[in-house]
Amino acid sequence: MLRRGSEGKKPLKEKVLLLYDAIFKGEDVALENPNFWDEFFLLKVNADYLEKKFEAVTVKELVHYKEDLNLFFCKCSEYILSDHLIRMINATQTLICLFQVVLSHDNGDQSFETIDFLFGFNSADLQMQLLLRALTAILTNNPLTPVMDEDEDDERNYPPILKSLVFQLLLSIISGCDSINENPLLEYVMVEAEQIEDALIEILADPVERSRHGTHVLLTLTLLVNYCKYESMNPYIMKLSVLDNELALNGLASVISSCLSSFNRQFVSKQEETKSSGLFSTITNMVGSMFIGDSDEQKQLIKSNEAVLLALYEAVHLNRNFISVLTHSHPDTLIGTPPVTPKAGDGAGKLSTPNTPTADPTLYVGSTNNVLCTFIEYTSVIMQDTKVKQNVSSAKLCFLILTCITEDQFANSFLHDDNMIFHIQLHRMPMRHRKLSSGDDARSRPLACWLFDLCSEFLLTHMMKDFPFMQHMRCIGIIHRLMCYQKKFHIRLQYHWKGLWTALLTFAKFVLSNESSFIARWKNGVFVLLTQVVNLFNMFITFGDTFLPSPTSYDELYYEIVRMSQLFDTLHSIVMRYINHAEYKDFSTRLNNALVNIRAIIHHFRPKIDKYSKDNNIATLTEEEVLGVVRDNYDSLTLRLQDNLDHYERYSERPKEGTFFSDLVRSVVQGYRKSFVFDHIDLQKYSNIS
Amino acid sequence: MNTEAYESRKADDNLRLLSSVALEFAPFSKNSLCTDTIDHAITAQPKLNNSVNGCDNFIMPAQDLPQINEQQECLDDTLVRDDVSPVFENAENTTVCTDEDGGLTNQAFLCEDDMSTPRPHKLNFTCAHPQSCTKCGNGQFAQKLSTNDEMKTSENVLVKPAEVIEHEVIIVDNKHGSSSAPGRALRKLDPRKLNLTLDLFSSRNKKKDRNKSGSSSNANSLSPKTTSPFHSNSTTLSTDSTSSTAKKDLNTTVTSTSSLSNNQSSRTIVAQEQNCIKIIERPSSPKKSWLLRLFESQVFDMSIALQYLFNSKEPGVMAYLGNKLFMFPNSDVDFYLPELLVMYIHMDHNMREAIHPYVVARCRESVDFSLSCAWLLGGYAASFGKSSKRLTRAQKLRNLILSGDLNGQSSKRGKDKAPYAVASLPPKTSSPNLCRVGSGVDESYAHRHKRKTHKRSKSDVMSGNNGTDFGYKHTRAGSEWDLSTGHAFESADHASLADRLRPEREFIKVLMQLGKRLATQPTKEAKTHRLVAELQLLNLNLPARVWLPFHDSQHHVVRVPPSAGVVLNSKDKAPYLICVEVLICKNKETDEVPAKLLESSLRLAFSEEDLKSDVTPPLPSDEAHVNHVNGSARKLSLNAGMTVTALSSHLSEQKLNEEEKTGVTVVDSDATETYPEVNNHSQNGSEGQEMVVEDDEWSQSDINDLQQLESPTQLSHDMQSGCSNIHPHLNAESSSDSVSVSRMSVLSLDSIISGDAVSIDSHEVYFAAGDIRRKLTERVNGHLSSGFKHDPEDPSAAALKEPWEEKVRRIRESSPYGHLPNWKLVTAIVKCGDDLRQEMLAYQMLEQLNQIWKQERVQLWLRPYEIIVTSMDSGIIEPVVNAVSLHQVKKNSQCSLLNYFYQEYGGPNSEEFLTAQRNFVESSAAYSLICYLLQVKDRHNGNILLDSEGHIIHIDFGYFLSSSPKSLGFESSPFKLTQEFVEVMGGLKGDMFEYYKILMLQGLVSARKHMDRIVQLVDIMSAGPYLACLHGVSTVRALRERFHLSLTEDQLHELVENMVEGSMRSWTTKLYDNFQYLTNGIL
Repeated sequence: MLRRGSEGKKPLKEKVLLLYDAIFKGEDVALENPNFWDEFFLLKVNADYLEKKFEAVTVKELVHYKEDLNLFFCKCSEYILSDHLIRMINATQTLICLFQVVLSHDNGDQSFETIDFLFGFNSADLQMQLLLRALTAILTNNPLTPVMDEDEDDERNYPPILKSLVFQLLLSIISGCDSINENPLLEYVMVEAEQIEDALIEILADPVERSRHGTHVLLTLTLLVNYCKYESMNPYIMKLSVLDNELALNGLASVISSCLSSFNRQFVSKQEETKSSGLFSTITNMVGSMFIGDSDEQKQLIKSNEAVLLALYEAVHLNRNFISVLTHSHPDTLIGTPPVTPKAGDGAGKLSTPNTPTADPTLYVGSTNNVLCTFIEYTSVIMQDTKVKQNVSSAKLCFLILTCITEDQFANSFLHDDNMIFHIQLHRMPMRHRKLSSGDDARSRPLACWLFDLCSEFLLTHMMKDFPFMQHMRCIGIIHRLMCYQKKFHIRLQYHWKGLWTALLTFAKFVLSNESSFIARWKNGVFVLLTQVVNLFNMFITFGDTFLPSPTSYDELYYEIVRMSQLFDTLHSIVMRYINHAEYKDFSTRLNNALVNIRAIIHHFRPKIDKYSKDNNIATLTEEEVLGVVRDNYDSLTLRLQDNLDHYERYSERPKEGTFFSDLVRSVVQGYRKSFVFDHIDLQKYSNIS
Repeated sequence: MNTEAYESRKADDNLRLLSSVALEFAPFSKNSLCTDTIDHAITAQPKLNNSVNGCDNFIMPAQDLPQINEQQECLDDTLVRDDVSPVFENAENTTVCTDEDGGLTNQAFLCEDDMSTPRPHKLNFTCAHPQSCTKCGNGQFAQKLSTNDEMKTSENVLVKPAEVIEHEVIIVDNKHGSSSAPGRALRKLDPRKLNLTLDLFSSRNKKKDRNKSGSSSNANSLSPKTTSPFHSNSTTLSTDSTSSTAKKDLNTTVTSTSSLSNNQSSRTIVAQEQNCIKIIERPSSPKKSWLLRLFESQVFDMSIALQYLFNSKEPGVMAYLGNKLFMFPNSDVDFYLPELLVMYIHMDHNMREAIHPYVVARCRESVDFSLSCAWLLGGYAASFGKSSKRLTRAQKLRNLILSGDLNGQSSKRGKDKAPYAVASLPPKTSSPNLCRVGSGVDESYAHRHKRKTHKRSKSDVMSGNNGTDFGYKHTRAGSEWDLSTGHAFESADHASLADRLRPEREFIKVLMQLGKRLATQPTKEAKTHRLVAELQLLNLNLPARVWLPFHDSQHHVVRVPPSAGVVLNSKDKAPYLICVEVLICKNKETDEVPAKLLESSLRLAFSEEDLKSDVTPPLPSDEAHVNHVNGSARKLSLNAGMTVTALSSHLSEQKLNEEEKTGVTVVDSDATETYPEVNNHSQNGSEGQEMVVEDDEWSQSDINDLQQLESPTQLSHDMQSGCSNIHPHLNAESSSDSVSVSRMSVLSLDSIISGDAVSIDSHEVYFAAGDIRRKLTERVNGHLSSGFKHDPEDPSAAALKEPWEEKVRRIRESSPYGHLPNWKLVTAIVKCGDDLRQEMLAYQMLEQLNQIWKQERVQLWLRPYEIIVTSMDSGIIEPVVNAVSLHQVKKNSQCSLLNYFYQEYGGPNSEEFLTAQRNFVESSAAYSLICYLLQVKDRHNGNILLDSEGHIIHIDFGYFLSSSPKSLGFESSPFKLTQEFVEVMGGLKGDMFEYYKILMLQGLVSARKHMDRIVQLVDIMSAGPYLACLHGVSTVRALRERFHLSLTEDQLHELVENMVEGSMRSWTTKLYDNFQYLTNGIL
């Protein structure tokens, strides 16, 4: 009757299309042919046709199809767990189509109707439950009903293709609506959270499966976690926050790291391409074209990485166990090429001959990267250009993640660990007025050093008219958090602090020079920002003894402050200007208070230095001489202790960032839908597998 | 044999054996193949026949023969015997020993049975002198036994060893009914005093008691040929064979005693017709009796045994000594394991026969022993040519150990041994797949695993417990893939030896491969980085049933703190030091492997500081504080809110309701364990009662942990309103409860409190900038003086300088396992690319010298460090803690050694300095002597450590005896004694320098006294595989000469003076240091 040969013949309408038509004619197809569905699902899916068929009809007409759709859907989910691989594949694909078609079809607030169309109100609960259970069963290689005998155990491992289809199906359910919270189907997914989450975690924990489906898992998990994040109890959030399976967490980190590092690699190779094309073009193009000329591809990548970043954020933010795997390294090769499926049999064969030399396992295993290093490098790329909107939100997310990380005490402990030194390639924006590479870049250092570098880099490179105010706040917040930790635990980081001081001072200078326009725009914010910067210096002054690496660095701090006294004078005068302004009174007073010590220092040392130069008849003092003066005159200087210097407001997602995240999720969902391509699978390959 | 003989002996030496009489029951009748063996037995006799205490007794370890048979089979595969059991039946039945009278001289030996017809019950046995037997036991039983009684007696004697082994003995009762009074009496006998055989058995059985696994197979291995006549009746063959062996022994004793007493001067072989029963005996010559006397004396120890074993050409002596090994404490024998194995591989057939049973028996009972054997053998095997016979020997033994066939050893042999294969399985481990041969095992194995893969339970996945999931473990072992599965060190079951060995072997393999991969990294930084990364990967697989194979390693490795790993200084290799957190357990093989704890679950290390905030009332709630309280309220409200909806006040109910009504389980079973506080709170919240953290254990730090959970709950906006009624409670409680003391206020409080100079009372607090800088100076300096600066080029310096106790404390604090009482930190240096066998030899000699000096009470101090050879070019070294190399000392302190001493210990007259100086002198003297005796070379400052007490410790014995670096002939002085050393000792004229020389003299004299213990090690090892340090024929002789046996003490004194003089003057020392500085940058 229905034979494979019949499909694909040009003049005839494809068999499957006829059958589609038949299904939607409202007849009971199974009456004619009891094997109808068995045969139907052997046929290759034609997604285009199905789509077209539904595009043609309006919502009202759709009602007529309801019964047929229900049946069709029911059959599909039934056949997902059939005993024949091709049927399973086809059923899954058909379902993907159906979901996409129906979900995209209705618009507006007809969510209930969507459910009704698909399964009918009455059986919706059951249907979805069955479907989702079937899907998880496939993902976990765990059939609901044992149909095969024990002997065929081996075949129980569902092929990767089926699993990735299952993920596609899951994702098309999840990403049905632009706004994830409005997706009616997700309620059902929430109900089945237990199984689904377990399946996802199991896949993450398994290196082979992870390498195949890692990105899918990541996306699924992220989206699920973001469903009705603020409105209701989301079981996925609960589960993710208590997840303590180190392997799975490690797997999650590994997937994130591989995604980000592939972007980094691409960026580097692109940069080298530009460089190699000649000195002239470099000079002319580099600044401008980096993101404008060939940015499409990169934009795309950045967009797709949003989901990855979001996953990283959720993991860091929700799960404190995840922090511990941040520095776990993941060999590149491992992620790139999964080995030929290691079957149990191989290993056992090896076991019998313990003396036969096995393949040399010491083969060089490429470079390894850990998620944190990769992420910092990624951040350094992303934050470079804030003109593109895509980058802005990514960069913001990056800084949020860093904020979360630096707030965690355990994370801080390894950020500052002398034995956990890394080398991170920080990508610096090429600027004419500075050299590209500085000495410290080549050395491996504790991660905290790199974070300081990253932050000062950001401060220095984003002094622009279009001032990313909040980003700067976050950036200074990150520096502050790191310093608080060092102060608390007396960690003397061997860091070249001068670079950071210079960056901060330069930054403050810029803000001051644009003071009027900024205040007009951010009002009190400017004072808060400046207070923050000044307070960083206050921390150095007040608690320098607990974390500065050497006495000379304390001298240098004073040197820098005295050197930039001009700046602080300006700052003071501005404060004075606003201090009686009704609107800015409070905040400018605060800033004024913060300035007390710095002004005291300046007032103390400036005359001393002047006197010294007068006494010695030197017009300009060398740094050494100034340091000498500073050293000699500490004792007569009294400073005031300020409260709450090592005090920061803990990050909280809500209410500040709520909209940002819902927008981000929306963008991720849209991104997925846009990038979704219907797989045309060569069923021939699987025909022999039953 | 008379009573006095036994009595006197008892008094004489109650630990030693009574001399026994060995009667050889050649259990092979028609088998001509046996003759070879029997000859051995015969030749063995003369050696072993000794008259002790005037009692001419005949000694022959009864197991010898069976062992020999077995070995011949096992090792050479030459002997093939077809029917075994009939022979034994015959043998059994032929035993007839009669004793005419109890007197010493007129015992007669009679064999009156017809051997050709096996009659199991017609065992006609007469105890030669029951009185004496009993008297030696308890002296209260003397009775002439009738034939029948005697038979029972004999068998009851046999029961004894069997009982010790703790196996049922059915034989006797089945055959002969219950034992009679004589039997009971005999049972009380000390088996050691009965005869050698029993002694051997009992001693072995003691060991078995300690380690039961495979115990019965032990006996088997010793007498696999002695198939019991009671085969059909017995449940355990091993028991049978044991008893039958013992039985024969007894017979042997009796018979030969009698024959001796008859003063037969020539060898007597009693052969009954075709049954080849042989009673072998020899008159004892005085010389031999001395030998036996030595063997049985108290001074006879492992070292002497080894020497005789090595030097003896007599198979009998070897066999005797081979058995004797069982009597030494395991640790004594373990010490000489390399020597034993070298002899096993390199000496002749007889030697192997003598040692084999011991090795096999120990392998069965101890995983550690098996592993060291396997590693050593692997190391030796690699150094032979491909086709070498020795290679095959080493390989064969190694296979035997590793393949797991040891249990069912003979199953490998082929079908003709089929009955054995089954029978020799110890009852405990008789799982069916063990019997299968080769691939059969693997098939079943693989099959089992395939199935496992699909039955992974979700709870496993969730809890991260890697203890039960076997799904992946047969992926490529040791590869990164394997490690990344998190199941690299799991074993299917612990039934077979191979499976028990597997995890540990994998663990060591991983460590070694790590080292090899490190070596590929170009810079030290890259290496360090890589090491951290690899250790993190390794941690995913821990805890597991693995351990660091040093002495007394009853522990499980739970974590390898990644940042405590350090790459050591080496030019092209990458040795590295790791700290390993272990949990001590009673028995590492059977105890449960500890459960995984996550790093983030550790209590905050610095909780003391947090506690301060508990004492002080929290700051007036500033904005942030309020926020925070709200935050925690929100966090708690999640659970509370849920329960509000659930309307239940009981936790259990509540959980149920949660599941029913919301369809959501907040905390699954795993989470319940990990975050009990979540439940606590939810319970409390639901009751609307005060929030009190009742349990001390879950205090501040855990609450801080909990903060991480806050976000999900933040999201439950609607919930919040629902449970706003709880908020007041929370806020009310917040002041008294540390829960709500926010991190921020903690921080700020802490800052004020720790801001030393200031008080918190007033808001206007002033401080002097000068103070800050002074404090900074002090702190930085204080920090520097206690440790070395961290230098990425030499990460080990800082790590090694850190005092051990401090390091332990630091790691303990940062470890999730640190709070456990049985937590311990151990370290190891993993080295690959270097042959550590020389180091091992050096360790042995150092240890010997150490013992000698301790024994002779010479105040010499040295620190031998343990070496584990895991293959030809890799191994593990026990690090010397609290010690840094002189090179690092000089580099970091930038001053002379003496000044460093002043700096570390105080002025020249301080107590600490004087102690350190004394330590320095005592250790210098010891190592000077060692350097001279062993000709240790390559003595640059990187190879000399200085510990925190002032001792110097030499490491790296890569060049000693006959090898020296690049054969440049540098370092011609006897030892390294630089001007700096002398300075520390107080100069040439100082008392301490005199003391130094006196110590050396004393040390030399006492070492000379026991020189054999040292020389023999070299002697034996030079028979073994090629080692650079044993190059040349004259090595041993030269070593011997350095002990200067011929010199008087005065001459020795002069010698020491001369050596000290020569070493000080030596320009080569300086030259070598300079050379090292130029080539390797070692100061």
